[in-house]
Amino acid sequence: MEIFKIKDLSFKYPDTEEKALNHLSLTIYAGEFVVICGPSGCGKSTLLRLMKKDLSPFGDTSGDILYVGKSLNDWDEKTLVEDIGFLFQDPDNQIIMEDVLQEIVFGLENIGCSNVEMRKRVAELVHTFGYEQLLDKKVSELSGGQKQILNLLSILLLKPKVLLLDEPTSQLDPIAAKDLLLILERLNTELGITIILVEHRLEELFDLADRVMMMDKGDIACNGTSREVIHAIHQQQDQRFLLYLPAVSLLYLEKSLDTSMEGIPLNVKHCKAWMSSVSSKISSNVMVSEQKAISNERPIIELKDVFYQFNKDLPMVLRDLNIQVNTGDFHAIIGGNGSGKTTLLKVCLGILKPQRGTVRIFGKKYSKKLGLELYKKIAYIPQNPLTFFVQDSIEKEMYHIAQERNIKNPELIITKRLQQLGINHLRKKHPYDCSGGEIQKAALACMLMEEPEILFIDEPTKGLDPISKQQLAKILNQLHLDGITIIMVTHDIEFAAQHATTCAMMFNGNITVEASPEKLFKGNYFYTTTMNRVTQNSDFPEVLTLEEAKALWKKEKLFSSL
Amino acid sequence: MEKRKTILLLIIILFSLIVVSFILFPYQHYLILSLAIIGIIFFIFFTRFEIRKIKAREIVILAILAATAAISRVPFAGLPSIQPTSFVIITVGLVFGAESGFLVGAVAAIVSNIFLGQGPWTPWQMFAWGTMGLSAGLLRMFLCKKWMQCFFGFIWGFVFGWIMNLWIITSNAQNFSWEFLASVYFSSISHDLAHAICNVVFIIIFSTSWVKILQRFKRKHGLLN
Amino acid sequence: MVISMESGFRSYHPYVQFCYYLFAGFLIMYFNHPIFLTSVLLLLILVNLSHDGGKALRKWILILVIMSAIIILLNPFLVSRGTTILFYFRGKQVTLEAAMYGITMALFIVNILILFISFNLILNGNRFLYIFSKFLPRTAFLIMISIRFVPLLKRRLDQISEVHLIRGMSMTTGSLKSRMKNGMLRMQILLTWSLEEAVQSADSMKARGYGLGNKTSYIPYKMKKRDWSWLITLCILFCLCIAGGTLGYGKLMIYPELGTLDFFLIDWVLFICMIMLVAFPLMIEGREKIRWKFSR
Ligand SMILES: Nc1ncnc2c1ncn2[C@@H]1O[C@H](COP(=O)(O)OP(=O)(O)OP(=O)(O)O)[C@@H](O)[C@H]1O
Ligand SMILES: Nc1ncnc2c1ncn2[C@@H]1O[C@H](COP(=O)(O)OP(=O)(O)OP(=O)(O)O)[C@@H](O)[C@H]1O
Ligand SMILES: [Mg+2]
Ligand SMILES: [Mg+2]
Repeated sequence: MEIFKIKDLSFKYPDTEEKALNHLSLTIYAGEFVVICGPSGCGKSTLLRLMKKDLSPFGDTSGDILYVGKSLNDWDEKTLVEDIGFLFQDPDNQIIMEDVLQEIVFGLENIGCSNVEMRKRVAELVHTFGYEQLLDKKVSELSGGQKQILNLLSILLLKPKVLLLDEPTSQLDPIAAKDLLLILERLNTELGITIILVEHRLEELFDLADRVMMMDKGDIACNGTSREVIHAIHQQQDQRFLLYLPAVSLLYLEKSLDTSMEGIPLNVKHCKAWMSSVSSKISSNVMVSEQKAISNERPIIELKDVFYQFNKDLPMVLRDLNIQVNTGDFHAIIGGNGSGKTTLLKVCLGILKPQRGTVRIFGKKYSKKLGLELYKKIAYIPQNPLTFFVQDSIEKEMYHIAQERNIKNPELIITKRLQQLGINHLRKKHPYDCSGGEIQKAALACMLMEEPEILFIDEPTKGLDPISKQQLAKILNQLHLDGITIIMVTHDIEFAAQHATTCAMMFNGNITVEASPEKLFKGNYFYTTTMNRVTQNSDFPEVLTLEEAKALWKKEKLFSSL
Repeated sequence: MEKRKTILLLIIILFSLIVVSFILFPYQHYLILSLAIIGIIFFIFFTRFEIRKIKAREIVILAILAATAAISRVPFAGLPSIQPTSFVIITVGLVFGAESGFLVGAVAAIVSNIFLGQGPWTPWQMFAWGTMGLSAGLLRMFLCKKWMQCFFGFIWGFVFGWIMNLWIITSNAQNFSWEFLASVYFSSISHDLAHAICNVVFIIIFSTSWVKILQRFKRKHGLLN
Repeated sequence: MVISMESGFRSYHPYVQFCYYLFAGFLIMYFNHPIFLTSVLLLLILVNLSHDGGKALRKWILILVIMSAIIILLNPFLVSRGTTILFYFRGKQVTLEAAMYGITMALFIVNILILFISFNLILNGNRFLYIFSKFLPRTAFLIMISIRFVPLLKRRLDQISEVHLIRGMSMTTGSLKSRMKNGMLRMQILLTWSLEEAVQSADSMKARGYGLGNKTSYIPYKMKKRDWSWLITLCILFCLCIAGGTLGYGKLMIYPELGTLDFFLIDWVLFICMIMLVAFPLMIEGREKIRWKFSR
């Protein structure tokens, strides 16, 4: 049954020249799990919003959207609210009420559900998802992942037939993201709910999806089952989309001697099966991957036995924490939602004063006198870079900083920085009109005006498409080469594994391990990259990233073909 | 135009109600009486808010504005005499109009008192800040010049204090004497002056950019016209 | 779930609780007889103790004591009305009436404040909104989400301040003007940012059907028999008090000349009515305690 049929849909935002959606046609069948992806700004969110009538953006629409054979406008409002659920990106902003229970039943109360029915539905679903113990809590006590599940529950209680999800996992740690995806899979297979998901991190999604759609410039560029799409993209060698493909599939497509579409592996299991079928040809001559540039051993930041709590009544956020960052490191900190990563950064920055323990930066302790001098050598990009902007254009902001800090020749430096980051065309734009990646870079540009020695950056990759992520990586690597010490908090393990020189894992307010990415991630079950999971316990040498695997494999293949 | 007339009419009716009640009742129940009058005013505005057609977005925006006004003291915690709430409320009135101004003012009073302590002064504060937003909205066509805004803010710095003094006066009705009245009003002068100066300073430095921010937002989402 | 665990006064219907606070507040404003007010004060302290062992009250005690001391001491020197002159102070007469008035005034304010403390403990959040949302659902919702936004905004403001600190825009150093400017800049960022985020919250409300009409409530507050009987009792007591009050009982004549503090028969009736009304939560808690004892 066709649940959505979109015919020749075009959409234009007011005050813009380009159409956000351009004559897009698309059919979605009941019970499908559809994943939509594509570069930032290609119109994914716009499409999703147009499918939920209440959230249709303001602008010129042409074409038609049919839901179960009838135009969306002909349906009555209540049915649409109940049938089509929408989950957003930010877990916090979606929550309206203060108590978890109140929040869960918010939708039910609105549609005028009877009390008996409400209680029945709540009891059933809460039990199914094992959410009982959180029911009496306040919303503010939940972690990011729990909040997102709460949001999902609140929608599910309305018994939707379709779920639209706009980057639901982008703020979550890898484990929480996986949990959410598992729930979605369950909803899809057990209840037959149609799922339409927009996402940038796709490693696991190709496996779950019945159908994948690549969008570009307001239209669908590629549409089919996961394997069809992967195959087609690989054939075209389209750089924009190639980055979206899962590592396992890419490895197969690059390195298999006889590729077939059916044989494309989509998950670790498939990939291992394929590898064991070819591994006989590979000798066990293991090459040790070359080490990344070793930093010198001068500590730039040192934390000793640090304890921190926000309030006497609240639990300790950091417990007995020790960390040392050396000059020239590219240090990545990973860990679950709410494990205290952001808090750790703030303690390092001297914004929060630990109750116990010492913090040394450049070998000195923080003090009022040193404060401002130190901050000239430090750049900090907060988790939400919007906090940064005071002025109403990026250029003005940079002039403002130049004036504050008595920087001579501001024009020269501003242009240099903007060009270095590739955002010179945005200089007159309002920060709030920029996309996530752009604002990240703009904040970076502002912070780099004074040539800092240390850069603290909190979750730089959230919500970025693979291309922006690659650009960002390039920028960060360049800064690192220029001698800036970088301390980065991230949920993106692949990103950390690829670019960091040292990684630390936080768990429950403590740094449990601190080592080079190779040492840290190898052998983990989940806190590791897909490539590592594939190569763990196999005849193939254990690697972390696709690049490593490819490089190694090349040598091996040459060897075996002799 | 229609709306303005009804509001004007209401104000006249209420005013005459107060005058009549002053004559009819002997001087003991001013407190109860004035509370009743304030209650009626709230009721009128709130019922209008109830029956008006309004988007979910607009409600949330009003809530954010009220909350912002209520916590605007937080950054100034070290500077006790600085009171930016009025500035926020006036700006909201200027951009979003009289009714939104009233609602934001009244709700901001409740919200700030939830954290500072709710008490019998709450209705008065709601009333004072509500009418501040209301008047900013009603007079917004005269308030496009900056010096007019400053004047307006300065006056309200005092009027706000005077309205708040009323709760001391009315709850002290039996004590009433001109001397007492004068002493109450005299003792609040320095505080009111600080308030008025704050308003003026904030308006001089910030009113342009705040109005711009709110107007940009209003245009972007087509809200609260 | 949470609701069924509540006992005593808290387990009563919000309407009954609201009426109690309304009536008690009204009577405190209505009667000014010091004996009335003093007994009410004692009862209200007990009521507060029965809620949470006086935890909330303790925070206020200092303020209350200082405030009433100021009123009692200041009033006779500020106001020179009245005929019974005690002595002269700097040429102004200090009268017994004004002193008495200061005392009733202080009692009145302290009573009202303590009543509010109890009110905040009992009719918090949901319950208060429940009452409100029957008449003014949208207003109630507006107030509720504004309150809910406050901690969120505070958290955001902290984040902004942190970034500003690193940028060297301080609130603790510099001239008053630059501090005012920095503070307001923070508010400005907060405003711009929060408005943007609020649109998302609104969308999430809309997506879940806010504003469709005929809203129901998950937590069922039902008027039970005991709620009705108490409500009626409270109303009768209140009417009696008002009726007596309009006849001039329960009030102390202060100006121009202090009246007698003695009670007449009707004064006694009113006094008992008022005591019963104000002691309503105590009676409930007491009855429950006794039941517990006997059932064990
Ligand atoms: N409110 C708006 N006003 C004007 N233009 C807009 C608005 N929202 C989005 N656009 C523009 O419409 C285009 C499509 O935006 P959309 O948000 O749908 O992209 P997206 O694919 O979801 O991107 P992302 O991956 O970054 O979320 C972009 O060019 C964007 O700049
Ligand atoms: N201002 C605050 N007041 C009280 N508690 C806080 C505050 N900020 C954070 N917390 C709590 O401290 C813990 C750690 O928060 P933190 O923001 O450091 O986590 P995080 O690891 O950065 O998480 P995420 O990955 O979601 O960003 C969380 O439980 C959080 O609820
Ligand atoms: Mg999007
Ligand atoms: Mg964080």
